[in-house]
Amino acid sequence: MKTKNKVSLVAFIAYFLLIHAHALFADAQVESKNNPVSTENNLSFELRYNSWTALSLVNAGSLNLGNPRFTADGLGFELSYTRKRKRIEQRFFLTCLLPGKIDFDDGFGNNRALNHNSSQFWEMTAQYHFLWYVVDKTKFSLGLGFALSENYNRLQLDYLSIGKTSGWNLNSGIGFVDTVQYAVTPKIKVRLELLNVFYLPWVSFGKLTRPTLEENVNNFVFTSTLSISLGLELNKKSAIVLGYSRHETLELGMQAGSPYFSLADYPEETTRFSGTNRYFVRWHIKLGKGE
Amino acid sequence: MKRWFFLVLGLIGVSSGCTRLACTFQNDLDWKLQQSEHFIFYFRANSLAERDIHRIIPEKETGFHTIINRLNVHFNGVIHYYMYNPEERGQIGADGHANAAFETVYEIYSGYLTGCHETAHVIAQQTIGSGKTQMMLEGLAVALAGPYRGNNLISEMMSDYKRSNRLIPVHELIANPGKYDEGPFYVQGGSFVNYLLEKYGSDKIKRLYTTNRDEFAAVFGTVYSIDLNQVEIEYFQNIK
Repeated sequence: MKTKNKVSLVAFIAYFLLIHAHALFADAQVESKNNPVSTENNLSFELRYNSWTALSLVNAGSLNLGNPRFTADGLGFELSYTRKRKRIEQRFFLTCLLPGKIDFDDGFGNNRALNHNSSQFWEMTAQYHFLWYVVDKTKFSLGLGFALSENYNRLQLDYLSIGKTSGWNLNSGIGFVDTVQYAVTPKIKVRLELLNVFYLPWVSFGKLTRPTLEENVNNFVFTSTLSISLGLELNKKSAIVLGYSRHETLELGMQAGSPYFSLADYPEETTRFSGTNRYFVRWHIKLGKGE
Repeated sequence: MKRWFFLVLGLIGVSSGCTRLACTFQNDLDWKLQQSEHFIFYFRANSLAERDIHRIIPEKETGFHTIINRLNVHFNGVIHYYMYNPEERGQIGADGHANAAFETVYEIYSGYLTGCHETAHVIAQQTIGSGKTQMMLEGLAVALAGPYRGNNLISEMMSDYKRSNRLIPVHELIANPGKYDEGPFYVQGGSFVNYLLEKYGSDKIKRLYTTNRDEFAAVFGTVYSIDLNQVEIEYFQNIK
């Protein structure tokens, strides 16, 4: 990675650490109060349609090139539990992307690289979010917080040229989450959320198997997810949420078998970018309040 | 006051994320296509590449077969070959670039045949594995196909380096690739890999290709049953 990009990445991490540091101390402030505080518990089930595209980043500083690309469409689901106590919200997610067939597209719809039927990708993700609401009004709320993420994925590319290349990865990451919610009416809410996760090579493992050899992989992956959703309260116990999210992934070291900054001499060749458009519908159930 | 401070910072954070996410890629479809046995060529209309495509195709196909035969590997696919105009150099940031996972080459074509250096990268990466050291990654591509533009004057250039006492020790090529100019680094790396390829064959090269720099000397000793320094002495003596 070029020096300019390294500096940008470090500045980006430092910036988010700065603005999210306050959330770390917020819990202590809330817990110090003696008054009993009610707790909201919610359960959600989400069904999503994913449209995934991965492309070669020829120039690590540019996102403009679009040829060629891997594409895959598929279904996924997510189960989540949310617990909110005054200004603190904790969320637990379990997400599964069902196996989707991968196509190669040279930009003109031609696939002369992959065997479509035996090239596929699937993943599972477990996440924990800890949010502190800086503003928590009936009409408007803003939350900042941290995220922990564990991701397991399997990728199989069946090349027409050389045969099957397959890999699995178990990536562990930390990140930041920001959420803004606006109540258009008491029953209709609009939410904008940004989640950034850095999967770190020291705690991420995997294996890449080519026709000729096996390589151990330690991925360094940055993911960014921006989602917008519209929630409609059906009754006092449940709500339905419709939404769209854009999930972007920058992989460093996928091909090199090691993070670019430790062993691989050529970071540009190890850089890959993927974007996923997600359309989701979520059923939200309020489990009741406790103390 | 403190709350508003964090509110503003949070909104800046969200907006910065939105800005980044808004930089989505565009599909560049402004290409003409021509296919040969092992390549699909993409070039701009009315470009030098379009003018010379009848010369480019036999050059690439010949180079492809040379690489396959010398490396003794199986590669039965097509390589996607994007040829940009010279004024588009900023798009790819170099004269040429290969991305093996996509079996794709991006190259500037300015009216001179460019050789098969990037094709060698794609085939080597796909059939052998990830090149872990720059010396092996570039050295093998140069040994198989020459550097960019594929010049065949490697032995003459090596003689010149030897006469002018500018030979780079092999352990330096492995450990400090960034210390040397691209020209001498590519040529000297390619010359050494070519020496190994000619004398010991392609199977042993494949083991070295996927070895990282920290383990290189030890793996070399295991694979070749001879010390790297000893081979280096013989190699330097062999340069005329």
